[in-house]
Amino acid sequence: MGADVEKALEARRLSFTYLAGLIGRDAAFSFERLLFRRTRGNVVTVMNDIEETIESINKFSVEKCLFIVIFRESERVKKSVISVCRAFGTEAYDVSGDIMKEEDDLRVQVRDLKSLYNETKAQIEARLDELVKFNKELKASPLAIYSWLFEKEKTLFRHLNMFYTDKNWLRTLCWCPLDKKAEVDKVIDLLTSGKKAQCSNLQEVRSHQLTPPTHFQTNEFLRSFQDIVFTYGVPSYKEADPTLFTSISFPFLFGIMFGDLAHGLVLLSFSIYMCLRKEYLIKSKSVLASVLEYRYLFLMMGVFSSFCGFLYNDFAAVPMNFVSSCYDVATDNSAELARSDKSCVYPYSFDPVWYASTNELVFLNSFKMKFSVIVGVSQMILGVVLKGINAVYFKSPIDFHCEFVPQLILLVGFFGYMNLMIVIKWLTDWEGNEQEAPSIITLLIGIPLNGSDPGPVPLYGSGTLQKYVGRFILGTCFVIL
Amino acid sequence: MLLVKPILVKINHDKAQKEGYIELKEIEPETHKEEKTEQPYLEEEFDVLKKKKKKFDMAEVFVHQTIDTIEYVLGVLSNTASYLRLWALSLAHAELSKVFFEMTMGIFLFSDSNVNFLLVNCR
Repeated sequence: MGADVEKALEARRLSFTYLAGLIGRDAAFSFERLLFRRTRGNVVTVMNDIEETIESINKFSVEKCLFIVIFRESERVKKSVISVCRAFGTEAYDVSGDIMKEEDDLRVQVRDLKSLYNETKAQIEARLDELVKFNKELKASPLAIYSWLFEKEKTLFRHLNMFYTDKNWLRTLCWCPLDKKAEVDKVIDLLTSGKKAQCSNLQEVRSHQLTPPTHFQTNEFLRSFQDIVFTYGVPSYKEADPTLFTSISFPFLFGIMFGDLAHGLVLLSFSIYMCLRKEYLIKSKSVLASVLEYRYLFLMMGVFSSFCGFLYNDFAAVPMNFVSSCYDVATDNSAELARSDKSCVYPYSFDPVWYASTNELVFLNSFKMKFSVIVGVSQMILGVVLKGINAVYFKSPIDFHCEFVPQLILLVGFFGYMNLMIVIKWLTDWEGNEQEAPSIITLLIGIPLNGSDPGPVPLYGSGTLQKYVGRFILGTCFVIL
Repeated sequence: MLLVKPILVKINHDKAQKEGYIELKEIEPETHKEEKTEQPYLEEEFDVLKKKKKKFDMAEVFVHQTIDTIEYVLGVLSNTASYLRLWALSLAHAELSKVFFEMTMGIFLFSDSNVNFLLVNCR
């Protein structure tokens, strides 16, 4: 067959062109169709899948097909086939002639391209290394200098944008603390002396209705507590700042919740380490660097947790027995322990015998709940009093008489009375009629609902005083609102 | 708080308005001019300095005060109750430490038999 075809070709002087190339498998079908349409059916395409996946420069592995396009020799058709191939992003190689020579040419091309690529890569890396290298004279790498320069320019222009331009002058408004005004003027004089630029000193705008932003003067210690206060709300201009009180009350409440001497001492030692070794920790870029800002917060929390752990007599769930207990700790495990001496009072914290008793939780829960509520109401009274101080400072009698006074009366009258009842109940000796001791909750709910009926055993005095006090409080609350 | 404050606010506002009218009449021409030329250019340039007139609405003050009152009363109640979290967290901490202690040292310390001791130690 081959000889006949050749003879026929010789006779008719027909010659075919063979173009080969690679195309991705997903584009293969549309490629074939486009070729067919473009050349008006004058080509034959043969596709063959390639088994192994080829890795491109971008490290994507693609599946490709090998194609051969066969057509009768014609410049026009060849041009359109090549343009279609280019459109699909591949190259078509003429394999009608000497294939080996083409292959050699291609190999040389690939080698050249590879060396060019490597050279360019090395050049880029060398340039980048140069930029990052530390320059001893300037004490920084060029990259650092550039970024600093850009940062400076950006800041300058950002601030210049805030000015109002007017022919040759730039004007703007700004806030400045009064005691720093002289300093600012001095700096302005320093910067403009001897130079062609002219800058006026700060001139005060007297009549305006704007509220100035609040300037907080903090130190290292108060800064963590200031952040805590900010999460609730930023105090406005010249308002009382609760940060100073927060620096004690927040760790104290934390300590009440923590209440463990062992863990408290761990926290305390950790925070002492942070406070003492601050520079070393910053320099060595340890993981603790981000916690360093709040080291004084941790210190206070550690102190108060240890203190409360001492009070709760709790060392990692083991009570400490420095002073012997007031109860006869019998070895025969009797149900109810007797007191060795009726008037014995444990000098500090809870008697360690509680932790071995069955009604430990009942007692501790009741105590802790009442204690929390006492502390809570005191803190809220402090808050309302701060509000009153604000009203006095801003000389606003409306705020003082119509907001502060009713709020304080409501708080103290209702919840302050509750605290008082708690303390009275703690101070009375219920020996004998423990079952009938009135529940504080019942009494409190009784004030609005029950006409504060004192029940079988009154809390203080005889029942009538309690009744009248309760009704008086209820009436006051209604009137005051 | 609920009733008295709006009334007082309204009285104050009326007084301010009346006084405002009187002030304009009483002022002498010179001082008035001085006030004006001190910083007029500033007000023209910077919008933020321009004086805004606020409309006074009595109903708005009332509603505002009602909301404030309710908010305060509910807030007092709920915030006082929320202090019970001090108790809750200390209870949780104590119970957790107790259980941890019982599970680790407790088996060791409170077991009665010697077999238990051997089992725990000679694994």
